Amino acid sequence: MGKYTDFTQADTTVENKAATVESVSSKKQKRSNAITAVNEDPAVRKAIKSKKLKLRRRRKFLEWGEFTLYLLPSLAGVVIFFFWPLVKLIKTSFQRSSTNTDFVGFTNYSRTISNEAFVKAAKNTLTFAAISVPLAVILALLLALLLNSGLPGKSVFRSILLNPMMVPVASIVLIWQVFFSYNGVLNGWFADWFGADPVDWMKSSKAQVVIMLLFLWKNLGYNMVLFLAALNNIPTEVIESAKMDGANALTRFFRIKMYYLSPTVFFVAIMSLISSFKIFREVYLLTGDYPYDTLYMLQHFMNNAFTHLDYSKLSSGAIIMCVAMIIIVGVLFFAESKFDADVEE
Amino acid sequence: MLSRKRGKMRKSRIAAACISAVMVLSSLGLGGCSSKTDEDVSDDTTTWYSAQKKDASEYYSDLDISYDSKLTYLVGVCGDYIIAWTYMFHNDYDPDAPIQDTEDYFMDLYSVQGDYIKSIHVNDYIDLEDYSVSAEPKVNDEGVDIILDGYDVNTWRSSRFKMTLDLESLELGKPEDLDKNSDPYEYRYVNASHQDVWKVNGYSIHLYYNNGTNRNGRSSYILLIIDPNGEEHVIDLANEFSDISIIDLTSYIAMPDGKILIFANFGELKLVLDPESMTVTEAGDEMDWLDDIFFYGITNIEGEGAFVVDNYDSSQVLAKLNFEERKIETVIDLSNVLINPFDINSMLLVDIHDGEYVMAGTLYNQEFATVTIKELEEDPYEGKTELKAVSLTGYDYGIYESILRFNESNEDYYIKIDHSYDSDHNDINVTTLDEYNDQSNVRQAEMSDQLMVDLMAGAGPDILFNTFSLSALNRGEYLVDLSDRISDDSRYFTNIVDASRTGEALYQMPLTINIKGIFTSDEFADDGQDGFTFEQYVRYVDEACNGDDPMSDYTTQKAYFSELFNSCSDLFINTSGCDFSSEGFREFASYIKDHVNNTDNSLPGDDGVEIVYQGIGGRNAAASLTSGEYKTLDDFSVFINSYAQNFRDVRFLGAPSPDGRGPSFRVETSVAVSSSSSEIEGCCQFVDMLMSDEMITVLAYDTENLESVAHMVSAPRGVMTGDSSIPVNSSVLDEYMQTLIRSYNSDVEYYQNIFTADESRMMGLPTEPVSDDIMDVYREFVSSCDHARFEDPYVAVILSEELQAYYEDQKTIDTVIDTLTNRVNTYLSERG
Repeated sequence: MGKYTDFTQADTTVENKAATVESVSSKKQKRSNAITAVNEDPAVRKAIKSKKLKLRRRRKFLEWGEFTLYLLPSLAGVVIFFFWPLVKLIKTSFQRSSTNTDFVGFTNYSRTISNEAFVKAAKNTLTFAAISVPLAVILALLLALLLNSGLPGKSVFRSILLNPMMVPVASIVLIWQVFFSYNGVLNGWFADWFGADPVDWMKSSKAQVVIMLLFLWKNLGYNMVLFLAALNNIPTEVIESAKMDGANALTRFFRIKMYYLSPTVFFVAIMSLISSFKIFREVYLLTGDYPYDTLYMLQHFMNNAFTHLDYSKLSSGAIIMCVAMIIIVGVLFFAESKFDADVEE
Repeated sequence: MLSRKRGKMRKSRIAAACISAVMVLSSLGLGGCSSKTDEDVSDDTTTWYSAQKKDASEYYSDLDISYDSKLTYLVGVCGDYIIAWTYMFHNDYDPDAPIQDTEDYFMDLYSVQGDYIKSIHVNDYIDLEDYSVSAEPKVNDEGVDIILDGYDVNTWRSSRFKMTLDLESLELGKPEDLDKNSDPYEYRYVNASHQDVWKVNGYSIHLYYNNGTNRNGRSSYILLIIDPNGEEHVIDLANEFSDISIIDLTSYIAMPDGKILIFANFGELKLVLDPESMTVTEAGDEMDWLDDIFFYGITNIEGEGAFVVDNYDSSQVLAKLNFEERKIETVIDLSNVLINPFDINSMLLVDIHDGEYVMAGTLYNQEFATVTIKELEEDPYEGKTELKAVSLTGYDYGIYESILRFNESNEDYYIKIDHSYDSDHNDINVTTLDEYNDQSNVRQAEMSDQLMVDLMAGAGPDILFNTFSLSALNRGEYLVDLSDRISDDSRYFTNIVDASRTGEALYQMPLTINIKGIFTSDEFADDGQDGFTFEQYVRYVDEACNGDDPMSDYTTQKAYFSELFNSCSDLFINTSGCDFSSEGFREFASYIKDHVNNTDNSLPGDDGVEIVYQGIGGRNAAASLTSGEYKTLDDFSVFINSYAQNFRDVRFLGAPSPDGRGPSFRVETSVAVSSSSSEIEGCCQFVDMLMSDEMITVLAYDTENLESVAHMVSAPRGVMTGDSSIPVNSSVLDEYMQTLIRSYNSDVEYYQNIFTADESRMMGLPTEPVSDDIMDVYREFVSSCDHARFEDPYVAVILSEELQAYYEDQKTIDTVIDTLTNRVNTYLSERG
């Protein structure tokens, strides 16, 4: 910013302008020689202003060019690994197949939407997200509030809650299998303590509950840390002044803390939503290509379509899922912007 | 200030929008909106080869010798000649006559260019009245000798003679008494017999086999190596490899570095002989690339290298072994040679000259011939439209033959084979039978997925062989309805054709089939009984089979279940979904759980052919009827031998199933035409040709000459069952059966003239002629099948995963059914 002089904030006197211009390049110096004279004529002032504008634009353009050059490698990566596949995907979804580029309109989409398996998968995925994401947000917030309340051994609890993030997926799957398989630890405990019959956790209506537990166990720690950081950023004087004004804890929480936490709540919700879709990885490792009904997710549908080389079904399913995600996230953005409208910076 | 900030923010958003637009547009540019590429233009860069076959058939057809069987094999190459040896065994067997009067020997001579020169009737030169000898050719350092082994008929003293072929005059010398002193090599070592001579790079390597009688049973070889200077060197492999037995030194490769790679122990051991240092060592990992090679098919051509005829990369090829790059290089794809690959895939390459490859050996029909392969300068199919054919299960003799004949006879089209969809199961490396079956199913499923996607895309083949198991293809959008190609229903087994239809349409034409069921005696089956329910079967096993389950070959619950499920899956799965809640399925699962044990999950051995000994006086046949046998309906030749005398007592019933249905059939050979093909008419012309009696005969019996197959009917040493198939053309089956019955009865008449009934029974020979009624019985067995066997590998995996818990008493059947229905319905609805 030191290289160029910001003319808009420079002194308005012509001498200062001339002196400032002199300090730039020789070309500009020549030009500056042409406008050393003070002139009150509006036409002349207009001409001067337009020349300044041109110089400013040129400078801006050079600035933009420089940082675009720096960004180019990243841009290239984003284009090649994100936008280009997306465009190809959209293109494939309107073709007969990956090797036959005949345009078939929305046939693939109607075929996918009318597929019972797709409908089941979509329902399961949305149900899972609708239950587990709010739980992930609320429980993480509660944990953060608890740890922020001056509990002893806070750092120990924080480490314990963060540990699941470090465990590899394969190990998590193994742990869950040991616990929740038909001949697993949990059934063993129930049989020993209560004499209960074994429950096939992964192949019954309780399967989604097990997966939700896995999801929460894995993600609560990270969400909690985000909330902890946000809580620490709330100005204490606002809380104290509210206390002095007679606000109780609940009022302080909902009227003050939640306002400050709203961006974090929104961020955590988005991240949890994304994580809820990624749970397919664990489910696939636990149950294979064709799991029990309630565990059959959209990714199963698409993964199997990929295995069976049905790329048109795969791509149309992926686009439908993408559109659904955009709508959901768009709604969240809208809600956040409304909620945040009167939050002071 | 705020408005300035908002203005800046607006500008930032505009800038971000511009950048995003640029990225999207550049993606579009990269992704392209190209139209369909011309990938369906036929590749006309195929190199075609002519094949000129030469044999001694004219000589043998003019011979005035009646024989029962003839066998010819390649002896080797001596100088400029290819030597073959022919045995003939006479019909008029006289046990008191000298051997040379009961067997005829011929030495067939061909030039290395493949031209037939002459055949020498060796017996004419065996001027040994007091001796009974058999003859055997033997290659030596100079050429080829004929060794006569036998005995003095007066003194019973064993004797040995030698006749030498003069390579100049091509005449045989008189027999010379071969005592121990006359041959410097024959009796060189006391405990080792002279087995063979290899001539490699100027060295002569004599192989002596020691069967290990003085080495605690560890057999080995002694190598006597004569170098180009005439000096002898001896390497006793027993000293070099004292801990192991060495057998089967039959193949070697002369490597470019002068060393010799020797295959031993049926390919399990590779030895490297260094003639410079006269040492033998075990080959290291650098030879691992030769592990899967068919080493018996290796020949060494001086100045050219080592070659092999083998299956490579899903195709039968003549390949060269490249030791520098350690890879097998295809020289000629045998499917591009204008001859049936099965006729030359057991031949050896004997010479290369002027761009011609000369191969010698036995054809598919066991006749000896030389075949000279030469690259064609012009495309033999120029002007014809190419049709692409694929097969999921590989190609047999019959399919190749039908393609060759179509290519020769059709003026407008020719068929080219595509190996893209061949699924190779040879490299599956597992430890149990169940794992092998699972992986094999997955491989086939992957190939079938690829094929289905390509068909849907219009990029697939024109003609499909052996895709009958892919029922998902049976739609008008994939395949052409071939119902119109059946002009006369009476020629076919309509039960087979009807069971192959999807609705009214026939998308995949069955050509040959096999049928599996339970052979049993009539006394253990009720009138009108087609098969067994599970309850009936349990009773049958207990009462008729004394507890010995005819299906005990299926040694695991999973395999047993799959075998039965494949023939009755239509009871539980249809186009609208699946339902396992029926009483039938519960009974099915309960039967497996209560009556089948996991006895042996090991992989089967390497036996590809089942030798069925007919036993003494049909004893085995009677025994099998009592105990019951679950097997494929035998080829009619075996059926006659087994049940000629009691065929009226034989019943062929279906395996146990919920509805007691009859035997099921599996389509061995089928053909279908892609509806995306641009030459449907040409494809249908091929289908018409396939359905002719001549081609169905070739597809079912690998020959048009049924008489040549018929002579094996009553072979006393046993009959090879191998893989038999039944033609869908009932007229072809009738002709085959009639030919075999004629031959069988002719044999019976012959044996009756020579042996008594007791003697015949002792030797396992037939004693009574068979009536034509046996044809009706056999035909009835074929007509009793009304459903095809079908397996979906994904459903099979789900079933085996879920039922295991039930078999192990961990879950009730209701719980398992619920999960099964759930998962299988998900799979079926996903497929659409």
